[in-house]
Amino acid sequence: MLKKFTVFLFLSLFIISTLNASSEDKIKSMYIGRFSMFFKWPIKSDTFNMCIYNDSKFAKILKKEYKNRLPNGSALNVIAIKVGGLSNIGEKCHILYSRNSSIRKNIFLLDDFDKTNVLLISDEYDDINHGAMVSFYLKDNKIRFVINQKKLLDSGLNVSYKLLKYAKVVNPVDRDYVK
Amino acid sequence: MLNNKSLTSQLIIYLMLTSFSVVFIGISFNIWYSIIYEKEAFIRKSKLESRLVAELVSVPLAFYDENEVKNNLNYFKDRTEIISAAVYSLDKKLVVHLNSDEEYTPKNFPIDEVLVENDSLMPWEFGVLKIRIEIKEDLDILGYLEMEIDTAILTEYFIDFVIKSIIFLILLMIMVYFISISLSRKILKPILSLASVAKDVAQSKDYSVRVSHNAKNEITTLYSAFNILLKDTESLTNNLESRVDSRTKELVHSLETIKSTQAQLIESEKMAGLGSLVSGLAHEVNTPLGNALTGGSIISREAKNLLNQVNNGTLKKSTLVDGLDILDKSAQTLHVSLARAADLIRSFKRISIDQSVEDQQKFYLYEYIENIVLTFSTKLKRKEIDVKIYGDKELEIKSFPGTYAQILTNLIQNSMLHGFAKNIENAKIIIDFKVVDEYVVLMYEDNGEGMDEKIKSVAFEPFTTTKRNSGGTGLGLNILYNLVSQKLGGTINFVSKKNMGVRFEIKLPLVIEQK
Repeated sequence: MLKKFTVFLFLSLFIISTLNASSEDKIKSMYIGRFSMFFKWPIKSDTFNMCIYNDSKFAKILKKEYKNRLPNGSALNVIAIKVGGLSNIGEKCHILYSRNSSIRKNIFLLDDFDKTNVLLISDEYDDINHGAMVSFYLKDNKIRFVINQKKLLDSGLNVSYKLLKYAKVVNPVDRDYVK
Repeated sequence: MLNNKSLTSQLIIYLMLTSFSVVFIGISFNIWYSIIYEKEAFIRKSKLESRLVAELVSVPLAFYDENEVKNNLNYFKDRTEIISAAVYSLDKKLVVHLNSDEEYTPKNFPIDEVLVENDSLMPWEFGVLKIRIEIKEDLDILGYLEMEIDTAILTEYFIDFVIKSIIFLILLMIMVYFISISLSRKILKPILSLASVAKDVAQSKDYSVRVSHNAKNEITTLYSAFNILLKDTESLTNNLESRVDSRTKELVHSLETIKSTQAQLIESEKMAGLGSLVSGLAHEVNTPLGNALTGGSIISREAKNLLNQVNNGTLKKSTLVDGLDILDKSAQTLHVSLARAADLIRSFKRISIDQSVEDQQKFYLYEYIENIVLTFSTKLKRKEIDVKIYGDKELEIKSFPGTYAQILTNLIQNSMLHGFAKNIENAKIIIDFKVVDEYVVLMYEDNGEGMDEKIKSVAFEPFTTTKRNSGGTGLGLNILYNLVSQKLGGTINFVSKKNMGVRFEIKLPLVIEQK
């Protein structure tokens, strides 16, 4: 009996946890799509490349969500990148969303990542101080994000002032800031 | 209507009306312009606010953060004029609206940026301002913001502005009223004072009064002119009596001279008429006297012849009978001729005596007219003018026969000299008279050349003639008019047309009272 109860409890927790994770991913997928509106890349291209690092499942979710079109109608290409497949990342991606791993331990090791004009997004709050430009975090049971403004500008990216006003900002810079 | 009011009232009314009109037009324009300006400013401000809120809600809307959208929308919370504010998603579903407690029905789109809906007919009510704008990030549309704004603030502004304008207008009109009174006192007082003095002078006839004005302006000129006028009037009044006497004497003297001249002219005309009579008579008497002379010569010759034959004893009976027959016929011719001459001389004597004697006499009018016509018989025959006389042969009147003769002589001479200057076929003169009430109405008519309009208008004026070069004096009709109107106390009128003859109507009293 106890064994049965333990199995039921475990299954229930697993199901709840899976549902929560599924809901969170969906919100994050929508957020990532919206980021394309508020960040400006120095080089414009007809297709927006969204790279998902270390989570091909999430990449599928994104593909299913957007169906190769961003909310503004422009073409979207979702690219799933496996661990270790970060060569020529600057040519492949506009956004690199690191999943299930700390940037500190992976991407940060890349040489000259700052020169790639790639918006680096992490799921871990601490990464914002270690190379990530945007990091998701939970507050009051809601998904929020933090922006490292200095890091963004150093990477040649611009961000909407409205987004800065909405999000939490670390390393804010003056208007006259030059790398 | 204002003309009967005093100058002061007129000045005040005109100034106030003018001021009111100008200020009223100015205020009306100002209100109209201000309202348009305020309305545009209100719309502009509302649009700016809505764009600001759209900017604020764009990121929360993009990241599905309804709470943050609502927080930003609460910017309008304290704004009472905001009737509603709602944010819609891209697929036009309501995301949030201003008062979440109230039931809210999403509006139908299409999107109009600005729309003012006004169902009221009142000019001070502006309706509801509706603003629907897109919530964008750059060119990407994220959703829509809809707002309905009450324009009561505009109505309040309008009413406030109108009330202040009316108060301003009233204060201004009060000020204009007092200024008008002040002006009227300053400008009109000396004029009104002058008018008062003029009225007193007119009533009292005291022209020694003088007016004075201290300032040097147009009023001073007016006062000076008035003083000069008074001075002249005073001088004229003082000298008026002596001047009237002097002028009266001059006029009396002139009148006497005119009367004397007129009498002389009448006398001259009368003498001229008599001369004409004498001339006519001599002509008329010449023929019967010639006939009488011939008859006398035949009688003398036959008597001498018969006497010789008696003395010689050769007288036969048949010769005696023939001789006596010749003597008888010659004696008859002599008698008729002498009788005709005697008639003519009697007529002449009668008329000439009548014209020289100024006493009233009883006479038969018809016979008298015949005698007058008779004196012209030769001239009338020569011009082949037929004279007809109509009237009561038994009518005896008591008047001045010489004057009648002079009147008819003038008329007949005028007909011969003017009317029949050219020979006219069937030329005739008709003299007709009849008694109407206490008057003899004498009609004289010819079918001569008549008078044109220019002559007709001055026919009775002295020295009016068309024959001055042929000896006409131009006094004939004037003397005739004076004789009829003054001496006989009658009236004379005439009608005439060019080439249609002339017709005189002379109305004379049957009995003339001795003056």
